[in-house]
Amino acid sequence: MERIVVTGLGVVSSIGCTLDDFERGLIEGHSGRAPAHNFDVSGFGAPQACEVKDFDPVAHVRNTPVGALGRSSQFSIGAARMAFADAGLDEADLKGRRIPVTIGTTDGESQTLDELARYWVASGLMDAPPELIEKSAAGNLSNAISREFGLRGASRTISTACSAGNYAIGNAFDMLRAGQADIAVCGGSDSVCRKTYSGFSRLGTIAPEKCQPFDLNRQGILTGEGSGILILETLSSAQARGARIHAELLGYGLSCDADHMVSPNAESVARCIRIAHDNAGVQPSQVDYVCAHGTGTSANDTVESQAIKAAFGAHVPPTSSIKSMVGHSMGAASAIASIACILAIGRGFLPPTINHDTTDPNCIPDCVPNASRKQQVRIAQNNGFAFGGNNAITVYGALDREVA
Amino acid sequence: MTDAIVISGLSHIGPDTPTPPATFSRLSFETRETLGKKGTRNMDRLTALAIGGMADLMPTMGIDRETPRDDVGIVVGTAQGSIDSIVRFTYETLAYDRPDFVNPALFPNTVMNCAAGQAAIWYRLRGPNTTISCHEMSFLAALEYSHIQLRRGGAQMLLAGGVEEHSEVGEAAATLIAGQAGTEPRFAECSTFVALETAAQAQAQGRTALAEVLGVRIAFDPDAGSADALTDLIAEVLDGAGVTADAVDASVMSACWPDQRALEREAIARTLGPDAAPMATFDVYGNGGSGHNALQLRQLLAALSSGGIGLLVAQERHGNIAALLIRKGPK
Amino acid sequence: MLDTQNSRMETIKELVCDILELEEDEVTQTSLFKEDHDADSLRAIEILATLEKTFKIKIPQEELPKMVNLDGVYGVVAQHAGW
Repeated sequence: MERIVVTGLGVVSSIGCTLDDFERGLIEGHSGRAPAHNFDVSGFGAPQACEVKDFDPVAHVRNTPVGALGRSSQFSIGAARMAFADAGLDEADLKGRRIPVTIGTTDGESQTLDELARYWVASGLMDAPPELIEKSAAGNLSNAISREFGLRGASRTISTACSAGNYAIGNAFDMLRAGQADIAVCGGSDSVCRKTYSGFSRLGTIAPEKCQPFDLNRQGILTGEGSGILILETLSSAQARGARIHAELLGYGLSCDADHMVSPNAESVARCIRIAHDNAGVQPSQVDYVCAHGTGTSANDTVESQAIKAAFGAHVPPTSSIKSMVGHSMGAASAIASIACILAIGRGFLPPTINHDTTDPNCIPDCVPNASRKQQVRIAQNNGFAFGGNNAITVYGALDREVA
Repeated sequence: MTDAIVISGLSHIGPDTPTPPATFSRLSFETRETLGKKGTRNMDRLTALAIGGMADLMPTMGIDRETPRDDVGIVVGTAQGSIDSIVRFTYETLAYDRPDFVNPALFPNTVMNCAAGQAAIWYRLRGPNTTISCHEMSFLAALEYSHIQLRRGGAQMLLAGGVEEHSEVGEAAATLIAGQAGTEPRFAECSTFVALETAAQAQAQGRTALAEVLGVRIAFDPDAGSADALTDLIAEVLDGAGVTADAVDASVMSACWPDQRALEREAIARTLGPDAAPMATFDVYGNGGSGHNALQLRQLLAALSSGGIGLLVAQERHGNIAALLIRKGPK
Repeated sequence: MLDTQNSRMETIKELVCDILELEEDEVTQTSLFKEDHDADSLRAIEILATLEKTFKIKIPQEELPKMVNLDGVYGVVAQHAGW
């Protein structure tokens, strides 16, 4: 069966809008949190959020009117353009090719939907401009990339909430494995919005100041945003054009809790880990690093830890949460975390869990507290879970693991 | 061919008589009457329609709501989830005295995968659970995704569907879009699901296939001004299935918007010949939104005789295109 | 005074029964929402949020552990409403 490799990475995040800045942020343990100002926080005081700073859509969006795109689509195009450049793929060579695009999201163009609510409150839904409705469609996230680069492959938006990035990566993997394409674009995108902040706030799951995954005194998430885009390629295509290969995508797994809309289920998550390992052809003992879903809520971190312990037995690998740094970027989260895994493999380090004081004894034993660690990573596992009990896990490996 | 994927069942709540012009047809479906009071208090209409829409499949597929099934999953096509639940939630944070007067139990309704996740809970289906948003092509995108998942062995059976609810916010949004496009708003509520599995499994379980999926492809047409891309895609699906154009017995196009309808008609004419007379789903039911392609599929199945081959095409307004080729089963 | 208290208690009971999908004769002042009536954490927060909106008060989430039955809920609401 054809091996699938990662040849390009693009990231827009609260700790950096280039791959280099993002990597430095992970190594140095940067925090993306700051007072929120990219969505309407009226009535909430002055909350913290992990928002994208210094992203100029005009620098990335060249073939589409920027004003016709919502924030999430702008992030998508930006991250895709950087990923193509990273992959050494020239825009002129891409145009017209049957390259599929699959983008995961929780809320799609959530800021335009927030705006629609504001029209409703102010004067009525029918006063909203039709352009706002056009901009708000979730399907735009993938279509925006396809249109911007003139790509003719299938253009799918997978809206399975906070594990959607991993779902999208899995879908692109399947397309390549099925021989439907040589190159595929995949990842996830989301924007901060009032809807999501209000919902998590009402559930009591927003940390007042900082996100502290696996900490005894963790208080919840910080909402975030961004986009992570991966260029996947068949090994033969990558080799034929002499592409630099970041890592191999070994496989992925999906499971559904079918139990509760918001409370995670340890048995189902453990099952998802086993499905992912089987699909990737790896043993638990071979996994060097787990990039956790690690939201920083009481429930997630406890349940995820139980599941990891159940699936890994006595040898739980170092497991960190980059959400401590970049916040919870929703549908982008597991795509951005996939990029962290791939960098960990390529550069030989474990991203830290920052803001860590005291490890919760009910959680995983080693969350790589506060400082990144130099360590060879041969195989990395990336966890993504979501409302609806939608679990998706991707597994990455160093390419020279078996075959050069 | 034993690894062929078949449609072993179809269940449907939706318009069975033509939708009158310039209306938003709302089904007589009421959540509590159909699904009962237990567990439905905070359920939005989209989720209830999804759960209700797949209900008739369950007995035939051996799904009983009691036994958890790891081998069966759900794939829901929905352009936007419940836009009403999403926008209403934000509205309430703005309209009430305090933003935290919103009901936290309604927050899960505001994620687009709510219907798929709730349906999984309702029927205890723990296999792959995916939500796909592809505008008015969401059903075909869900069907195509399911096809890929079954081929890779990701599940034994997938229930793939398209769901569209009638709602206050949805009606306003659709009216604004139709107004901008200069067409009359004519939208239909619907929820249609198909059960997909391998022919071998259907046979082993004694289920007679409604139809075999001979081929399904989706793609994107960045130019959107010519029928070339759709024509090529249809050719690819026919070639892949080893079916010649003259073997196609019936065809159906989505026909939702004037410009795209012309392209659909042209692509079919170029493929099947100028005399091909594709059915136009919009003309009968109006725009079924996320479930529109499913209304097309039902029309196609009704038009085919046993063993007949049918072609379904869609050129969606944002540039998404699709072609599905089926052979109707013996029943 | 007693009438006011009874009427408030009745409002709370109706609200809780509605959220937990229970008939009013199924719940007592001391029957436990979680153990006896299958309530989960989302229902508990829904009760808290609905009480806040109904009585125009603010109840900190830290009070949730006390709100295990009708008596517990009444106590918490009375404290934060200054009854």
